[in-house]
Amino acid sequence: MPDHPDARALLDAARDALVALIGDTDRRHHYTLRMVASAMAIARREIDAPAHTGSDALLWQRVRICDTDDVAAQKSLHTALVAETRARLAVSNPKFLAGR
Amino acid sequence: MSAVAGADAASWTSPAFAAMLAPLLAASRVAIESCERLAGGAIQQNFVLAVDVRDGPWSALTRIVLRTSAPTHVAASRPRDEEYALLVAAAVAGVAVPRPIALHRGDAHWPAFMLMTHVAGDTAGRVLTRASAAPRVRLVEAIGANLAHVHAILTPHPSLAFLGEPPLRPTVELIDGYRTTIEHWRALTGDARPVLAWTLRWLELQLPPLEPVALVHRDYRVGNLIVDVDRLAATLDWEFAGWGNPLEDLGWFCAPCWRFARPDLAAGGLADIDDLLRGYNAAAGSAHVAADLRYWQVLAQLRWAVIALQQALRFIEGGERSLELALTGRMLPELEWQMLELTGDTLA
Repeated sequence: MPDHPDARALLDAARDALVALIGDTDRRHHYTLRMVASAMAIARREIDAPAHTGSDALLWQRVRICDTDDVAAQKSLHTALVAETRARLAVSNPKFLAGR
Repeated sequence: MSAVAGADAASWTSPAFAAMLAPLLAASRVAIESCERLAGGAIQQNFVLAVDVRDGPWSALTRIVLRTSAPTHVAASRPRDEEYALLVAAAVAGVAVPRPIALHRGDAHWPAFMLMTHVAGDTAGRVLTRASAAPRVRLVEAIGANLAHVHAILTPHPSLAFLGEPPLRPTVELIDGYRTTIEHWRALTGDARPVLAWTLRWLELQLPPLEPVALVHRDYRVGNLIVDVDRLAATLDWEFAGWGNPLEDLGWFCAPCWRFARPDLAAGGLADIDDLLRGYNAAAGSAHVAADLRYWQVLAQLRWAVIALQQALRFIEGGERSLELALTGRMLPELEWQMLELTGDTLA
């Protein structure tokens, strides 16, 4: 049992404090501060992401053995790759998925 | 006064540097009134010097650009003497470039640098792609024609011997290099990146059978072009140029990763691919159509992904604790998504 506030809550609070500071700091530092906020947001989402199941390694193996003349198999593999990438984007950059 | 690699703005305004500059500019005297570092340039640093040049061929100039290496280095980046030779060759071929002024090869006091004329205009991708709601057709036609002038530089070329022999299968060599980086990443991190494997295989299955070879810029995109209102004013950053398939540059310019605020406009976020090719074909005497570029757009996305892996590797195993490098590694899923969009459209 972790102590509370837990890692999620601490990261959220730290990021909120950082974002609130950006407007009051020298513009030269905005880019760096936004990067810090972005890194914290990614880390926060990664904590909540489903546990790694090794699906990427299985897909990598499917790419290697998939018959390139079998269009149905290619489409099925492509669909699985899209799903894998969507899951990664949900952590790294969910805004990118908006409208897709 | 002595400066070393990574000299800063203060070094470039020193009297010692001004005295060193005078013979380079064939001037009787040079005064440097100010120095401002230009934005961007993680691999190279660019400074604008406000100068007073007495006598000689450059006496009319009031501003010149000094380009030198940044403290960090990328293996694929050419040294300043080679980049200067490329700039000169491009100027002679009629490519829109800053006028090359002089080269200093580096010594015990000053790092290697090149000097060129200052060209007014914008380079920022977000600014340029937001500047107009309508496609910027004339500008993109000019960008296409300008690229055709780059590709008119052919081997053998007497002043570009340092580029080496042209590759027989340039794209095979590129893909082999990308695969090496991807496999290194997988071995180091255990992160399989199946989309990169998929894309590598897609590219290998559709390799072009015969390839023309010409000078390719290898970073011809919005961000490396100076645009003065609606006029293409200059092509920058020749540090990655080499012999290759000209379609590589067209694909890079049209890759989804370089459209900034306008992902709907495939030619650099400025206009349509047909507009780019209209300008290119007219100047090159070629007959490319948009579908010809699909392969090269996919290759461009993969190249960007490999660069992102290399940046992340600098953070992971190179000891460079840069947050920017680390976050570049987290861009991979976006690039992979775009690869899947491009390659998925080709599945029957």
